[in-house]
Amino acid sequence: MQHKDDDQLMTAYLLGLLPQEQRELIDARLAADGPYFERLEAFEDDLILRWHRGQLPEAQRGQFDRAYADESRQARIAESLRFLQPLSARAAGGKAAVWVRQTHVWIVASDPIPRWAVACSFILIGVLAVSLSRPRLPKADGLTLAVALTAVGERGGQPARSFDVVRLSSDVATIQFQMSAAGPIVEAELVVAISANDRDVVREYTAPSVRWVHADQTLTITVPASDLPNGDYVLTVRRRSASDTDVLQRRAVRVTRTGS
Amino acid sequence: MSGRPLDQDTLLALLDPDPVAAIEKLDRLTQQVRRWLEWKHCPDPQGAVAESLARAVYQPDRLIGMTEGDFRGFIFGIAANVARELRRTHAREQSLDAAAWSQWSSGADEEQRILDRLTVAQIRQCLSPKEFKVLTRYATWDDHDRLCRELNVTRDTLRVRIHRMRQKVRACLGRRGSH
Repeated sequence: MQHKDDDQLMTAYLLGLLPQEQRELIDARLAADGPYFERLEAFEDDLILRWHRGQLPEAQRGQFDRAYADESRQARIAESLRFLQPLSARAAGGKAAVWVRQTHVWIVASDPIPRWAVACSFILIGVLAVSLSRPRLPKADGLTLAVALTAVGERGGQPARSFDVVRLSSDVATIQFQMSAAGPIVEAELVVAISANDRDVVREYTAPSVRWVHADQTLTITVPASDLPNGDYVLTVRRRSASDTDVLQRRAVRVTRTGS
Repeated sequence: MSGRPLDQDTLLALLDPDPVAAIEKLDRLTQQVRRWLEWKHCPDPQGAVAESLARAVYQPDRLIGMTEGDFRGFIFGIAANVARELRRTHAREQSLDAAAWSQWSSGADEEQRILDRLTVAQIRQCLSPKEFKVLTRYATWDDHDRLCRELNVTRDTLRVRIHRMRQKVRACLGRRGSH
């Protein structure tokens, strides 16, 4: 029970959910108590891993994305995951190799029933199942970087330049832009246009790439990192309606790649 | 800052009589202060740590006679003030020129360069076979409770063990990098 309480307190501290007085108490303890500090460091690494694996509850995931939106915390995520990724990849490679070997042996082994025919049936069923399932977001290898975008100042109908900067490392495959958007919103009506410097539309996104969560009034746009070369972009969220002026949100973002 | 700073040997002696152990302790302390500043959303944690240490050594009268624990609390106190100042400056800079974002340095690039060098082979060389096995399982198993049961430890203990292995690998790779 004690451990569970501690875990909840540590989670709330890291996600910035504690009231000021309680936060100050923990700060004081961290300054005085080395072993407690070490426990919190270890807890943060574990929290990051659970976030990366999609093991956090939905509400906590949104809180995490907001708390870890700034640059130094993004670097912490990268460090925390990079450390474990080579090991995960190695294990995944190992498991795949064993599976391929076993499957090969199973298919070519002599048997009164032609096993290759059974294998082909399985493949056909698999292909059918995939083609009949509803469209889903493409699964990308690599990291998903969540970025909470801040509001753009509006001056004379034009967005003032106030960029959120997204620094992409080479292993980021998908960017998940997040912004607050007061409802009611019908997800299927949303269109997000990403344009270079608010002029040329680079690409438009609709559901399922665009999602609106009623619980925390958050809009999420999932974009393959390859869609956005280095540069400045404006994200315009509008309803799919007869009028193109029905703009709900507008955000500016600068995309850069580390090492470039 | 004015006056003479505390010399390095005296500073290290506050942490440990053995200079090598003292350097390791100072390194660990600065890593912790940096991480704490990240938790406090300090705009430039790395810069704030450097500034905090610089301010500390320019107060030799206060440092002399401090224990390791006193020094830890002292540095955290200074770092909290530096973070507050940086946040105020940061808010002003942001309102004046938001494009300056790209100029801020968080040390992330340097960290990434170091971490890019990580390979499984290197990690394996830094750890005992038993440690490597535990770390690999932690990295690949979704069910950490199962690992806790196997090792007969609490989840909290497992997390701290993994954290220490990370520290060990980081220190090990750092030593190799400096050779």
